[in-house]
Amino acid sequence: MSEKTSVAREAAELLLQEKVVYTRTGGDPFFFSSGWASPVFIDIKRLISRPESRARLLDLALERIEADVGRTSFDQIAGCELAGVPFASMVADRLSVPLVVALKQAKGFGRFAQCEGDFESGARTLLIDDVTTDGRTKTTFKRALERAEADVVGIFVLFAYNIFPGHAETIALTTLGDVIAVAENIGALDETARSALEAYTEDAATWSRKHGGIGKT
Amino acid sequence: MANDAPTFEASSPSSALLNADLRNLARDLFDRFREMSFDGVGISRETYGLGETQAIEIIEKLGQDHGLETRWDAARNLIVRLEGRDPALPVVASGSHLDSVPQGGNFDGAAGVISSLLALLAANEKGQPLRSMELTVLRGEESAWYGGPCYFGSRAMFGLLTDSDLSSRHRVSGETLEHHMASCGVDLEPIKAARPLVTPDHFHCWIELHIEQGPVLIARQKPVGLVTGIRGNVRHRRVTCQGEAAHSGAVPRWLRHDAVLAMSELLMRIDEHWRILLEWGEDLVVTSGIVETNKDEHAVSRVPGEVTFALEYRSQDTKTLESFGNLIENECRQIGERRGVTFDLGEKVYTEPARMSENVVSMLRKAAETAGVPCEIMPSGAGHDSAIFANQGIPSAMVFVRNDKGSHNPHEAMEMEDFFAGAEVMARALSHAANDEGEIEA
Repeated sequence: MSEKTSVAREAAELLLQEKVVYTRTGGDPFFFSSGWASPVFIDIKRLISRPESRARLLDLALERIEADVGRTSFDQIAGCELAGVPFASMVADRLSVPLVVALKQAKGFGRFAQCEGDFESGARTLLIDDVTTDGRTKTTFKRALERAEADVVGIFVLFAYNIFPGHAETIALTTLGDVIAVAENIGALDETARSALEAYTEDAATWSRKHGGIGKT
Repeated sequence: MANDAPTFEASSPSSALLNADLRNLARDLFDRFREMSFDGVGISRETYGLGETQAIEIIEKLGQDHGLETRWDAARNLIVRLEGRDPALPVVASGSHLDSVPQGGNFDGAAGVISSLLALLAANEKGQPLRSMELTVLRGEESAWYGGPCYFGSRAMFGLLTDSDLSSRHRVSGETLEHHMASCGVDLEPIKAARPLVTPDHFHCWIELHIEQGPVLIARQKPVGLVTGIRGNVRHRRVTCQGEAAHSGAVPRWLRHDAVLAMSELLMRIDEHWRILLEWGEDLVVTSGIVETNKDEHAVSRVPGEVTFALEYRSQDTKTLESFGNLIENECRQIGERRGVTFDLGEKVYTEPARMSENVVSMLRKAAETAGVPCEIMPSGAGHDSAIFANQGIPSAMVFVRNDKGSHNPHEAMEMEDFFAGAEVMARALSHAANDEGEIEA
């Protein structure tokens, strides 16, 4: 198992142990704010209230950022409103680099209308969020930073579903695939849940459409 | 209420430019205008109509009785002139309009005309000024009679009337503006050729007194306002949001493209931007005065596939209007992407904001100080002929008079004492300007 995979699997195990992986195999599915229906929902932001798991998750995230982005290739961290902010803050604090916040919607006009903080034009920025589904909101945050003349060098998320079409280029600490693999190994999910998740990962668009969600971006 | 406002130290009658005779003349004129134009509910003097002409003729007669020159220009604006010692110098001008909206009030427009006449008569009594002073009674200021276009008299003066203005139709008669102008004796030849009837360099400065049409002076307990700028505006008469019609029970949330919800989100986003821009000190007002779903297809049980609405925003600042327009387009795009709808903003009609001259405003401010009249420095939310003068490069300003019940209705409530306070301020400033006692540069 590669270094990368083992870090991803360890993070997935943490999510399962902390019971922030929710599944629904009967009745109404989950709906993401982007409109996708899903049998699984990862509520990773709950971890901000658990200092030990939070610290462990952060260790793994830093390891991954170091390996995949490289500490010298960015000047600052940007957190995505709202759940991305605590994680981005902790990363920025650990690395002693500047922090800014990218907002969902612009407030008024001007360079900093859609972000909080302050930076020089051209600042190399690593964008951090907790989760990504189809990456559309990440595009919004990226645009917000670019409007403030930041150079967005990468997008890092703690968890990516990695199953939706039109996925933006992001680096994810762990994915739904990792969660399913670990769940199998440690027997964390029952058989019905696991097979539902597998069907979902095979063709998320069809699954979503069949369950009342959108079928394409 | 104006009555509850603290009284101010009005200038003593001996030092006031407007003496008791002039004040009586003004009271008498307001009464005559009211009598001749009362329609049973309010005051009606149609744009380029008989009532307007008759009211202007009263001013003409009064001017002549007091030994002032009078003449009508090709657009049938009346000019009353007090010749200065050096008639070649650019003139100190003031004035306003005498048309009204249907069932309007007696002070909107008339207050400016009467106060200008008083200023000329007062100056005449003081002795001949250096510069000539002119009162211009402008035709056709109101937009109510011809379905939107307005400022016909002032725009005709500067060669700015368009074919579209001339062919706009009267709300009752259905005849064109051109027809009604011709009935009033307008010489249409130069107007149709867009030839100016006067050049901006004819004017040294322009001041218009008008009742305030908003609540600011009442709230701040000041009799008089001095206007810093007249808001321009951007109007989209018909914005269309196109979504997708669907059954209201059968279609789940995520598959809907509800045009009304998308429009609502857009309007709330615009409202939020507006709130923040005000916090930043920008001048802005935003209104969506018409919202319609198509009544041939709308139903309680149908997810609306289309909605149309009007959007208007006003600001004193061209840049604010431009940036706000970009902001709206951006929101339309984002909300459109998110909700699977499209916004078509339709035709965009732009009216330029007008900045008042700092020098003329400061001259008015000094006049208010010496007259002991408390005044408020404020923008004008409503449009006025003065914007046309200012945008011709003529140093311009406006004096607002406190008025309790808004305007464009029969309940306008201007106190005569407030009117005299405003008129005194304007008369003093005009007299200073006519004798070159203050600096005015464009």
